[in-house]
Amino acid sequence: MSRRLGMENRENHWERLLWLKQDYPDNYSDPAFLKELSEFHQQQLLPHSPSSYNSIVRDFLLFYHRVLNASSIYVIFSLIYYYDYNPLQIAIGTSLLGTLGLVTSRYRFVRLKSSLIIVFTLLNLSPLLKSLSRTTSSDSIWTLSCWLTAFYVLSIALETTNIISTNLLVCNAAVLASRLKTTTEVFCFLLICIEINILLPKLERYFFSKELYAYYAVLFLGDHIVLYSFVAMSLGVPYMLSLALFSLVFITVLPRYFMRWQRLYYRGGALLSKWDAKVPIFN
Amino acid sequence: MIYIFWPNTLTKLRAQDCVVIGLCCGQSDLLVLLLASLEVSNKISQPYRNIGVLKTNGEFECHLDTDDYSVVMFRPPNLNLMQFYSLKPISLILPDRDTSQLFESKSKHMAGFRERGGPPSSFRDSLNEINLYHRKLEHFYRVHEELRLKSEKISSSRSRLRNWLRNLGTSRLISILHYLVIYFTVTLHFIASGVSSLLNKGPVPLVNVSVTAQQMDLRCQQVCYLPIQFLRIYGRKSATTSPPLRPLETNSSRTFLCEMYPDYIRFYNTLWLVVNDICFGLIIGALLRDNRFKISAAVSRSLEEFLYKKVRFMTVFLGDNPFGIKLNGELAKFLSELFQWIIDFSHETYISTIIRYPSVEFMVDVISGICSLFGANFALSLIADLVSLLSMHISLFYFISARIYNWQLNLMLTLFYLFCGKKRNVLRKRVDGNMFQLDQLLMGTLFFTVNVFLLPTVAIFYAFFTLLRIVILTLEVTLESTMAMLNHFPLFALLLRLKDPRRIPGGIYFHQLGNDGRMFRLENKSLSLRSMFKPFSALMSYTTNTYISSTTLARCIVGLPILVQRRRMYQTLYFSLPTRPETPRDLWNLLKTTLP
Repeated sequence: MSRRLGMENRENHWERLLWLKQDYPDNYSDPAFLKELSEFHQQQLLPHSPSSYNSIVRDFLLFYHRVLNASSIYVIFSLIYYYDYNPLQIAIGTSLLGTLGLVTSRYRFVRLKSSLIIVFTLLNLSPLLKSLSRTTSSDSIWTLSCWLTAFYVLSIALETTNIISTNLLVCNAAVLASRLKTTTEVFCFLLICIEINILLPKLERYFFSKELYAYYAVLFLGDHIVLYSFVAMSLGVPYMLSLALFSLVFITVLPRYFMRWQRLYYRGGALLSKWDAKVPIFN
Repeated sequence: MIYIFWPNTLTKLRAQDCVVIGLCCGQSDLLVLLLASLEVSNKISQPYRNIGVLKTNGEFECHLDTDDYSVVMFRPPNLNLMQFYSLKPISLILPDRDTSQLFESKSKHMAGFRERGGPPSSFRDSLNEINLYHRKLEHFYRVHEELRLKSEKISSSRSRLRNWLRNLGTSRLISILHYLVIYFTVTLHFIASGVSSLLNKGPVPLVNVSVTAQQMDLRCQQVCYLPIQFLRIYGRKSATTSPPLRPLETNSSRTFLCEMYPDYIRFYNTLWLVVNDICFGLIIGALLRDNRFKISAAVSRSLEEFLYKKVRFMTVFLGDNPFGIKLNGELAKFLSELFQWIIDFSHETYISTIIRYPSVEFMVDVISGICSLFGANFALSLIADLVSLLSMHISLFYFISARIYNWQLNLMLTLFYLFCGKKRNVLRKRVDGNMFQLDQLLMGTLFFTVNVFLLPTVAIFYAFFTLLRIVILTLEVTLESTMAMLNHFPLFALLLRLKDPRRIPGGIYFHQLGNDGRMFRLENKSLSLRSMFKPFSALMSYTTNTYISSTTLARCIVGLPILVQRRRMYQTLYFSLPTRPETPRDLWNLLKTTLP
């Protein structure tokens, strides 16, 4: 009797917090829960608008771009390792472009002190990295590098912060560097990798967030030109064309499937995660 | 319920009915002293009383007020032979050494006594009286001289002879000898306690470092304690460290009567072990002396082989891609050369001098001499010390490689946290997320990669030297365990148990006779082997914990050194020695009281 009176008189809303002493019975179910559940079901049955399709395509495009960037490590490595390009020229070229990009964006991603520290660390460690895994066979190195790349792709797909992806990428570069012949090559290779895979994405993200789509398109095209021309040069035009086709399918067709999957099979999302059982966090 | 304790010497049936004469013991129990003819019953006086009549057909007619009684048969213990009943197992460990509670003997036959709910002290009193059966009987005869039988008269004349001999002790010659012995004992005690305290002195006492020092310390402590033990057993006035023995005739004695018997066992155990040790020493010493040329040649050759050549070969081998494992060439070469340099250095400076044939022969000579003089344990301890001295370079390698390996693992753990964007929070002792600068991330990752590739090289050196160290530790532990056995084996107690189990009681139990639950037999339970070897099992479990346990394995894996606290380890075996030895002055005061 008294409880019922209390329920009528109470002013505080029910909250999903265990540590809060609330004037509700233990088996109380909030009306908001049932309401939100029915709304969620209604929403799932609705056809999706084209605007959501566009946003998904954009996300796919960004991911595709990151993967493309990541594969540029192998482009650089092959150019130095197989085609005996002068790494110094490439390094100077990318550094100049990078500086130019930084100046255009007037955005200080990296402070001068940091960049100096990075450069000197690389200079110091290049001889060590060159001899580090000399005795390990090349096959093991390729396998290791392949796995690291897989983890890298996985980490950029899942991770919101880019700490682990950055680390995996540097690790991959360091592993590959031990196959190069001279210390200069090692140093240049690491420098180029860091510039292309760490500075360039930052720059791109900056352009994207400031809606400077023209600059972004230039960078995007530049990436594509380098990569596709490399594929054409090393493997031949048919490979290049099939790669382009595959990319096109990935960007345009796969989002449709994704939407279909999300509508029909996806369980989870904001509502359920809000009402699901949770593990208490101590400390 | 009243218990009538009945000696089994009085079970033989007589031609005519007999009066059962007894004595009150404990709170309400009765102790049967003797059977006498019927006419005697009105001659006896207090505290003796007539309990009942034993008929010729074996029937017992009780004259007590109550009918609620049980008869407990017992075999009267001979105190002169040091037989006695004890409620608790006697302790071979000195009370101040005994940390754990000795297990209580609780047989199911004890249930009757627990039902009675009487205080255990009353039963202890009864047991004391039972132990004193023969003296009680003697006392009875002294009061009632006319009842004494012929055979018992002879024994009394024998005791008169003993008294006469004791009186002889007051003569002058004996007292001079007495003085001489006392001076000699105190001087010996002074020297031994001095040596012992010298060995235990300093921030790092010598006993912790050297096995020989430990052995010397043990012998010194034994020398210090033996006179005190001797006094406690044979002295007319008891030693100060133990509560004084009451005269056995007092009825109200609440102290444990046979207090000095464990001391007796410990004393002779120690003496026997020392004699045994010297016997072994003589045998081994003679064997060593006879075969010294062969032995020295073999020892010299094998030491050269295993301490220098093999170790050096393995170190070179590890530096050169061992077993096809691709190590980091530069680091492996560096470590290999470092260790080779230490091997060469230690070999040049002292090992080669020690393990040359003439010096080995000299050492074998010395050891055989020491063996014959001081016993096998001294020789074993010298060998153990020599082993640890000669394997010093290997221990050094082990500690160096363990340190490098441990540092590297710690570094890698920290860098791995950085790799995952985390950092150890030392204030809250947990790992928190942290935003790192780009240069920190890049440097950390590069160092992490470098360390990952260098780890196998360091680990393989570490594993090899750990293995070597374990081999040497096994050798040392075997030597030290043999020494522990020779020094502390409960030989005397074991033989006593074989010879006369009633001398080392480990509790009592009641055996039911018949089905009516009124007849029992009091039986002595001899001390269990487990409690005899308790210090050894403690040492064994400590050794296993130190050397073969999951914590040790975990320590090995993360590169923490295997620590051996030898002092603490063998402390458990000093069970028959007091924690703090008596000072010479105390001993002197004690010995003075024994003077006539």
